Amino acid sequence: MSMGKFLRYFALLIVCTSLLTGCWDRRELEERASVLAIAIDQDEDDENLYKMTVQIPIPIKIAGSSGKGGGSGADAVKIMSVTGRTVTDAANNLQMRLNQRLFLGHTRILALSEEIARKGIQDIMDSFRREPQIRRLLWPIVVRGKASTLLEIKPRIEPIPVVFLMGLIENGMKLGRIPDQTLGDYFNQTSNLTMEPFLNYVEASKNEVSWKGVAVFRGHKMMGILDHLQTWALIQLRNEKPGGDIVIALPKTKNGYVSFRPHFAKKKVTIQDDFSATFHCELQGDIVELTEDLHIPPEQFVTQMQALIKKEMENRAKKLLQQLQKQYNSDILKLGLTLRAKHYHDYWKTHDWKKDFRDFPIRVKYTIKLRRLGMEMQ
Amino acid sequence: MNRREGHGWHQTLSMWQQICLITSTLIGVGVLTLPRTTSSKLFEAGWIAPLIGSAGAFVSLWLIVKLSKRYPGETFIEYSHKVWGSARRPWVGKVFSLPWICTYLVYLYFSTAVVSRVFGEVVVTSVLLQTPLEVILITMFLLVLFLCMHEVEVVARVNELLFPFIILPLLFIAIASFQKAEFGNLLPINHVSMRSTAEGVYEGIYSYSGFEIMFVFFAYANQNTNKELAGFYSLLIAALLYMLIVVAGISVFGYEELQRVTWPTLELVKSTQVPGFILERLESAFLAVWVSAVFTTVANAYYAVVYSLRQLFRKGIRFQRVVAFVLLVPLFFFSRIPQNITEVFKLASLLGLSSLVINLLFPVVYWVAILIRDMVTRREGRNVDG
Amino acid sequence: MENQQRNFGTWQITSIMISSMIGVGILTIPRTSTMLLQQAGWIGPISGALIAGVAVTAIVYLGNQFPGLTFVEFMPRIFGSVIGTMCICLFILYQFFNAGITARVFGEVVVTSVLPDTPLEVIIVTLLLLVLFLCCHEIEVVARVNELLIPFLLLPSLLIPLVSFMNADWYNLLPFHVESWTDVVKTGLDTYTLYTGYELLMVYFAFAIPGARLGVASITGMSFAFVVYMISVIAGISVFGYEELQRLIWPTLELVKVTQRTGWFLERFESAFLAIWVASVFTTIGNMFYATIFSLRQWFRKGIRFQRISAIVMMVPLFFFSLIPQNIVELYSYLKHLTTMGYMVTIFIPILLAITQFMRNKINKGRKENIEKGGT
Repeated sequence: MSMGKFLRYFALLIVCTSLLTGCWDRRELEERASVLAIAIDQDEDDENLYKMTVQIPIPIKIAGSSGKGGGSGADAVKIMSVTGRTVTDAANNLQMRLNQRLFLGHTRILALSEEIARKGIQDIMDSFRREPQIRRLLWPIVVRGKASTLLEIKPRIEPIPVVFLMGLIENGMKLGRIPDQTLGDYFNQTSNLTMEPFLNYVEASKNEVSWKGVAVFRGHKMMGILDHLQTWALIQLRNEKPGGDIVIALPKTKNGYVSFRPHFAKKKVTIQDDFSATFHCELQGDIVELTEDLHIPPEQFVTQMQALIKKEMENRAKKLLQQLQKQYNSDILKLGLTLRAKHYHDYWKTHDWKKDFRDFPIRVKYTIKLRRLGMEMQ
Repeated sequence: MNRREGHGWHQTLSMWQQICLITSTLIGVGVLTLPRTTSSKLFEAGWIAPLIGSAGAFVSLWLIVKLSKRYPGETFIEYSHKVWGSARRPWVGKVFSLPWICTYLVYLYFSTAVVSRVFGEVVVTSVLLQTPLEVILITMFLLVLFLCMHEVEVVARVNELLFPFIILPLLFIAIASFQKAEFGNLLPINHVSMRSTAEGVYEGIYSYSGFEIMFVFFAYANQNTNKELAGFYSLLIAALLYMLIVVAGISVFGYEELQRVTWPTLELVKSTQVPGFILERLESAFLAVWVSAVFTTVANAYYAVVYSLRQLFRKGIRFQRVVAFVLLVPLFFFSRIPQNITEVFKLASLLGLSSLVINLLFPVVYWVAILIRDMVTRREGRNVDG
Repeated sequence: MENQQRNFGTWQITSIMISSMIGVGILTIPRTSTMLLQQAGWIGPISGALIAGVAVTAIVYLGNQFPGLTFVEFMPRIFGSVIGTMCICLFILYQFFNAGITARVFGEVVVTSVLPDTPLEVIIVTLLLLVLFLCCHEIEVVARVNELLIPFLLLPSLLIPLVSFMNADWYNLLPFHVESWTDVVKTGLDTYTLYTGYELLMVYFAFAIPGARLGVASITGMSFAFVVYMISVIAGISVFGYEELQRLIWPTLELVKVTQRTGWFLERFESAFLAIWVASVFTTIGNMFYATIFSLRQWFRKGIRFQRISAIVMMVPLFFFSLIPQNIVELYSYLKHLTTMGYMVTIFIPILLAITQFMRNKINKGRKENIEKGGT
């Protein structure tokens, strides 16, 4: 048994020594340059070059600024720009200017300028597919104008601009107003044969950033944008999220408005036998504002308002479909998925959805359920 | 020639230990690629593959159980020569059983190498990018070696202990990822040809390879336990888990995207957001736990090899230890033969084919041989009587 | 059911009465009572109490006449089996609908004021499950639960108006003059609904300990409820003024919010108030639904097992019934219809019963005297 014992101890010794020496991938937190956001633009001088801008937090500044208050907080991040022929090329060029190793595991935002989105972003996305550090949960965003402006904002509320931006999106998601479009969703939607992707679309100014709607893609190419009203109709029909408040001018009044806040949205898609689709969408919500008193009994008020909101929402949906079908020819409604799932043999096999979506008859029917009038009696 | 000499213990594996042993051997690196491999041929209906695949596995495992019941307390190595030889001339049996035993051992040996290589690839491509592959392999092998220093009982207990670490993370991931699921991706089911169904099922069967170790381990099952039932339950657990993972993969990614992802299950982990979970990079945690699943697969197979050799040469535990140590060296080099990830996958697929052969062919051939023997002896008996 | 023990003390009877009466109504009473009477709205609870008082007297009389019997048993004895059965049906139906509507109103309050994104169904289901749990027990448990929860009910409903007197403007209550007495009667009929709940005593009196003073219990209960309503109305008028009250959907809840402004204690005090107030709504609905189920059980002469099963079965239509009103406006119109039905069940039937019984006693006495006379 002494041999066995020796072997046992020997094995233990080797295991211990190999485990205790640490590992090849050990990187202390302060040895990493954690990139929080990446922005990709086209270089101004050379059309063939990409300009990559990254935002890297400066740990010491962040720790210090919390005591001092927001004033010096704007400097809590370092923003660097480099150019390169591809994304990886740019990243390599960036590494040459950094004292620490680039780390993409904490990247949360990928900003793309509208210009390159319209040209197509397949080549950019490839490196993000291969890089194992990249998380599928990060948010790609299309920015009007230059993408780098999104990283250069100074929101003051948060020392790190990206944290502010993340809060903006996350909060919008929770309220059901901003669609949750992650990189993983984008990948899935581009590979899926039945649907097209879309990404959130924002505009950044000097100190602020504001969400403007979504950018609609066809393949990897951006086709155009939907403004916030159409986007809300889209996420009601696609994601069953309520979207934002619906403000409608009251008919037959001078300057009266009514605001409806949807709390729950439900949708059902039916495909008729003659291959036309109907979206049935039910919105439940409250009246949150009524700027002019209509002087009608409450029962009548409720039915009138429901009809008014229904008409408004159906108009919005019609405009949405008009844009998606005729202008952009891009099925981001997941209608193709339904068709393939339920009508594979009788429709999908014989049609080319990428072409036929444009002329596919789609109707939208809203059902409004006005539940409450707020804390006010009428 | 006392058969019990080599092991100073008796048939002690409880039903639960048998289940743990089988299931944890089945569930290994295959799960990481399962959604892709099954949906590559079956598209939206990929989840059918593990279901049908399990049917083949059931039959084969049932035959193995029957073999072990006919020769209670004996391993494949011990009963082989009884099957092939006659009582009068024992050397005939020995000679004829040798090719079968050798094939079996060589297969197990190589599967150990391939599985550990795949595991190494996963770790290197996804979390520890700078770590040399060799280091990961060596660490794993040392752990395996340590296990091989012990008796069978210890193996059973280790499997029992690690069982929850294998099942729970998988279950957790599969269920948690359903919040992002798009069930339209699972439809339609009925548009694949028979040919591609067969191909898809073949991919599914590979994920069940591993239960052939029970050729050895069933010998130590407690006599009072129902081995058929243990086999049934363990395959059932694996089948359900596989199906869940495939359904989750297809419904979250869609089959088109799955084809582009190297390790779909790992991507599933990455794209799962657990509400209130602080760990942002969940995949590292998942892989850390995952090590135990791979370890049980590799270790059980390797243990079966080493233990069989010990029985073949009728030696004791000391021989086993030395052999375990010596055999690791070529194993390490074998696992490094594939030059890149495509070669690894090709080899893994080849291994799947051979597992199909071993698992289905061996039990059937053995049973045919036994039935023929029975007929002969009965006739002889009748002749003697007559 | 004969083996049910009669062990409710006077205080338990009182607490059952109070907690059945004070429910969701307290949130709206300042508005409903000032709608017609304006600054003299505090007369509303008084006239309501007077109307309810008559019916309560009738019920107490009946309770004394038929000790140990619930209405299911004594109604057929008084009215004969046909009309009696109809009355029982009406009573049970009324309690059932009332429980449903009360649950819905509670849900509406919670959804509008504190949890706007929680589905209404979830709130109602939670409440109903609690009620269901109560219904799986014997009647003794109901009494004890009511007794236990009574402080949670009285404390906030007394405290809130009292504290809000801090920002009261007493001139809002003046001038004191009543425009028309018909309005007083109308308001009385409206506000009396706040006192509904006392009709449940027709069930619960049967389990009072022999010798418990039913009269005292019901007077105490009535006066507690009366005081609570009275000061809520006065607080509402004096803080907001009757004009503003008309525009508030839940005036008492607004009172709570105003209280928080004075920096008295907790921020967002209305959440805390609603949390406590759940207890009061629970007892109201619990007592109603329990009475429904228990009457059914007595009617069919079954045991506790029947009660449990029927509680579960009845819960399903109750839930769907409470979801029928599509919006708050419809809910109020349903509430109005229910009130009309309530007049029948809670006023006319008890009074009629009492009168019939009284007459019958008189006649019987006369007959007895006659017989005695004839005997001698």
